[in-house]
Amino acid sequence: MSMIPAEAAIEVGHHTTATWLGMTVNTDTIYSTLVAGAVTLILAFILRAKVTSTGVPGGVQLFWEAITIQMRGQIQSSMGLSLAPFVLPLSVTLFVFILVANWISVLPVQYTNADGQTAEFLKPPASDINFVLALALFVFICYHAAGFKKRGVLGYPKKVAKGHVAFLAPINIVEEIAKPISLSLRLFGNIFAGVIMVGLIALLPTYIMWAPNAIWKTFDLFVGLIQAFIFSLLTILYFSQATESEEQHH
Amino acid sequence: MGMTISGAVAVLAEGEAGGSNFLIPNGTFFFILAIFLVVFGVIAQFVVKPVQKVLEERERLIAQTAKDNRQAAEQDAAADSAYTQELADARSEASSVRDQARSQGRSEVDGRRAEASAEVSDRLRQAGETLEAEGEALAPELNASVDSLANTLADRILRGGSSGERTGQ
Repeated sequence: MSMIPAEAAIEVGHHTTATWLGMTVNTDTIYSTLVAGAVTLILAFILRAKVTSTGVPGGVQLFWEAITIQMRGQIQSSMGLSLAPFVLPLSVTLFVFILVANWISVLPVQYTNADGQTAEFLKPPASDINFVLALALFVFICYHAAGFKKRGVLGYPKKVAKGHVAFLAPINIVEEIAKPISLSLRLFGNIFAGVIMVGLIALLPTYIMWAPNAIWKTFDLFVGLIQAFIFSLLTILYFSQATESEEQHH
Repeated sequence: MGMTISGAVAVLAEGEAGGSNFLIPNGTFFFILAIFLVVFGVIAQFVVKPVQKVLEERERLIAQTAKDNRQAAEQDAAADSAYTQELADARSEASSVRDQARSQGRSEVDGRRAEASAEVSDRLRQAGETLEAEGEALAPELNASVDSLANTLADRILRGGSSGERTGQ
């Protein structure tokens, strides 16, 4: 560390930690997540207060309606609407929550801490492995639960291992293990890379730094949107794979 | 703890041993999961349910409007055909009334004409008869006077032709 000038230092995966309920927690991630959750809940309660079916819908309602229609279309085309009462709210929540969480980092609130390292005031929570793992494992458990419910305690593992052709069973099992890992690490990698990019751009001289920073933040908006959409879309696809009928061949 | 890029690999290796690796989840996991579950519950209850209700209601309204439109169109078509039917009925009734009136008028004209011609022929016959009767009545009288007139005439001619003109006056 002494070989590198203080202003050139980049933080990688640094978190401010505390001990809550006997567990080490990353407080910066939790604060960002709380902000994202609060924004999402405020949007939800605005809809709750103003929702109308006969009057002219407001912007918030159109926002929620557009997402609900989009997700319902995805569910309908991939698995029918039998599981929609659970999957639809789950995919809508994942999309909006991850979207808000990713877009938190667009606020250009950066500071140089005591060690001369550039940090963001509100880090995108998805740059913390805990955030992505919590969401991906929750999805993983839910779609497997849906599969067990549909096919039974013995039928479902057999179906998962066998897939469509019996000799591909090892690949199917590897694929099943890879699903939560890829689901979580895809989101983590994209957002984490964004944080590192901000750190790298911060190494530029101040008089030019704003330009790549603005360009990158704009692109990061797009990345955050795409990643939120992919996460919720894959959730729907995993549910449809876990609950597909025998006669459905893709 | 902060790291530099050059130090990251070393710290990662160190983290695997010491348990402070940022890729290993810690207690944050449970707090994030709790926050997510709260958001999930609120959105399922207060967003997706009302939005679905709104969408269903809107679809129902659209279907209702389409149905109303169809009904209105049907009623319009029915009223139109009733109007056409009524109009055709009225037309045929009017033409039948007209025909009837025309034929009635013609028969009346014919009747009057027949009556008039009968009267004319009657009058002609009466006049003829009257004339004939008068002729017949006058004939014997004239026949009677023919002899005396002829004698007178013959007398005058025989007596003197020169004074015959004065006699004739």
